[in-house]
Amino acid sequence: MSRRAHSSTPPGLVIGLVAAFLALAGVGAYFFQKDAEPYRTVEKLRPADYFENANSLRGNAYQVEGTILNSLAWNPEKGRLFSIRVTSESKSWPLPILIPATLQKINIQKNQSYRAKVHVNDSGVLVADEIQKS
Amino acid sequence: MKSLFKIYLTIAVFAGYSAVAQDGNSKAATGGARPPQMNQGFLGRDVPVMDPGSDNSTFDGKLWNMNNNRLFRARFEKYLNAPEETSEADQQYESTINQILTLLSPGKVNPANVDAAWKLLPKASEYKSDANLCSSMADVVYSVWLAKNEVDRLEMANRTLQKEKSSLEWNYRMNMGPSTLTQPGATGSNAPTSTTTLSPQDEARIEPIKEALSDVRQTMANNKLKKEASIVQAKIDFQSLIVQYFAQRRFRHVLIGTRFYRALFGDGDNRLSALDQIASNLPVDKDAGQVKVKAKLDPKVSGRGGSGAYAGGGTGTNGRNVSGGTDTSSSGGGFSAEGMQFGVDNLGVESLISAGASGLKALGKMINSLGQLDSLANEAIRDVDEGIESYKFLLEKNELKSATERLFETFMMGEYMPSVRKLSRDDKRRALEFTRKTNELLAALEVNDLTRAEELIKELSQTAKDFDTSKPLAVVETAKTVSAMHLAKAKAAATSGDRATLETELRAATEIWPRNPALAQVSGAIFSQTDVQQQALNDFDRLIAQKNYRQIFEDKVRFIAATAMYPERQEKLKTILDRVQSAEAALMRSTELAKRGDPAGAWESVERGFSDYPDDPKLNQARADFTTQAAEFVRSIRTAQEMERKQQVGSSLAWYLRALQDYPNSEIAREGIDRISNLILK
Repeated sequence: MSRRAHSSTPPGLVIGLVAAFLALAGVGAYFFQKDAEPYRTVEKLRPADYFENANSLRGNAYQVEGTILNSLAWNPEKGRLFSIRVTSESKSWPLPILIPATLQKINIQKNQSYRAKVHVNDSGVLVADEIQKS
Repeated sequence: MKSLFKIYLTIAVFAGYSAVAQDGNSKAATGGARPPQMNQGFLGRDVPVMDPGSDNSTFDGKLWNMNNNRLFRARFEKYLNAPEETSEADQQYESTINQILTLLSPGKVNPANVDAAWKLLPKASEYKSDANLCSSMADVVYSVWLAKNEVDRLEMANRTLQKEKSSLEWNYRMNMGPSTLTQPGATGSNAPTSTTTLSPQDEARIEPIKEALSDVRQTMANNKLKKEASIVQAKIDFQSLIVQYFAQRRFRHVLIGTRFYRALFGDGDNRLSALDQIASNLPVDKDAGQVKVKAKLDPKVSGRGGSGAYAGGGTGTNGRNVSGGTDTSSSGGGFSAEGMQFGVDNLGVESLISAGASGLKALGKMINSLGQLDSLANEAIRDVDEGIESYKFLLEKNELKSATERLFETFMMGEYMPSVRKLSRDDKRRALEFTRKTNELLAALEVNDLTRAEELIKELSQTAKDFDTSKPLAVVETAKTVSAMHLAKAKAAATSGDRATLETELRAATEIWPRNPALAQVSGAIFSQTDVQQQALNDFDRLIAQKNYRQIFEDKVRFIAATAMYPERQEKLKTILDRVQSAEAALMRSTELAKRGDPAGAWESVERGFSDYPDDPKLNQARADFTTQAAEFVRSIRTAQEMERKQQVGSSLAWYLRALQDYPNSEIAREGIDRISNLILK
């Protein structure tokens, strides 16, 4: 049997490929991460603080992620009021969230998870500025 | 004669119960049990009226029953209790009196017997029964004798004066001169008839003789008058004593007196002038006039009214009209005298004295001789003896009513007669018992003690065969019926809460029959009912003030009954019962939920009841118990409520949501969520 001539891959190529791969992976991860936490720049709401004194949070913006529990009320002009279960610190916190009429095109389904960017209005109610399924 | 005895004979022991049932408006109202003095009456209350039918006199609204007054009753009862007077002394006294009467009897009377009788008088007066009346008689007889001695002395004096007068007349004639002595035709002894003119010397000589003669004549005339006056005064004194004995019903002393009188004054003049003398001695003021009773009929009078509607003083009435003088006749038949007015004019002491004097004079005209007085006394003695016999006979027949009536009549007329005094105590005791019971019956009827009256009527009907029970029983039964009717009305008024009628009817029932046993029971029941009701109302008000609604709820039956007549309280009670009932329901539901292992549901149930009735201790206790068992849920609810109160809408809603998460059936949480959601979207 003949023996083929033994050829060896240049190490520089290998390193280059690995580096390229890693760079590509990094870019991909960046983009993927960007799609999964769209409001990552917005602070997450601490439900305990909200329970403690919602009025003290008035004017703040937060991101909230949770599962819709129930539709509490609806007003075509003002919007829809839902309860959303937010898990934090290994506890489940039901929170009220107002989906204003400007977001009426978005379907809010019970038992579906949503992530929303909210602000605390003058009444201490969480008002969704943006919301999307998570 | 009988007219005088009417004073005594009209007195009956028992007719009083019929008097109690006299006509009058009260009869209808009370069944006649109310005493007649309560009635206004036909003549009003100002005119005294005597009803001989019932032995009642009325004046100024007061009833004076001859059979039921202390004076007669006490005297009669004293007699009935006294022992019979059959002792040796009593017999000796009677013997002495009889001896005196015998000595003075018309066939035997002579100065010796009169002296003997007079000597017996002091002896008779030694006995107690005589009351020294014989001694008074002896004094009067002695006075008559003294008067007679005075007359004898005056006659003797007059005889002496007559001699002196004759002597003076002789001297007078001698001093008139010879011409007059020889003058023919000079007759008589009293007055010289000489017409010869006397010289001054002669006149000076005979003047003293004339004066002495005049004095003698005057003295003789005075003595004659004194003699007459002395005898008349003695007679009047004696007659007065006899009349007094008659008035005292000492008839045997009257006989003794009249016999002494005849013996002492043998001039045959038996005229009784003492009554006239007494009448004339009364201080009558003629200017005082007479008492006048006036009657005025108004146009409403129908039928045949009494024709004499005017009265003169000092007369009686016949119940229909009053007429003047002694005419008491009436032409009035049945008539209706509605609106009749009566009045009395000129009623005063002077006018009454004048009337009394007229009456005495009238009596003096009827009894104007000692013979009449004597026969009246004899008749009275006979009547008394007959009355006692009659009493004994009726007693044997067990007819106590009639017997007692006869004995009372006899006693009133001949209280001091031997036949009355000798009646045995045992015989008298039966009348006493009957009298006491009848008096008791009168008293019972007067105070409307119908139970006692009924008992007495039964007892009297058993002891006295002739006692008529129909009238008193009718009175009692009618009064009982009327009382029962008033009580029934009072009960009805109490049930309907008509306090005014209740009081009126109870008062009426009490007036008619004060000791009615049913009255005590009914009034007790009514008042205890009232007390219970009042107590319940007081408790109700107090518990409301204390907000102790639970106690009210537990005693709800009592309070429902008590507040039935008070709409305001009733409304309060209704509200309270609703609240407590709601709380009770919440408690029951919580208990049930707790049994199922649902402490949050149990707490919520209690909490809902608590909001209605926060002061209920039971709810508070249950609330505390379940709070510990469902601490997280309770905390969520309370925090939510607190936040809601502080206008922290978001936090409050969050806590309600959390509470609902802990207990999905929570109504409080749902209500809170709905409430706040609506607020947010408003």
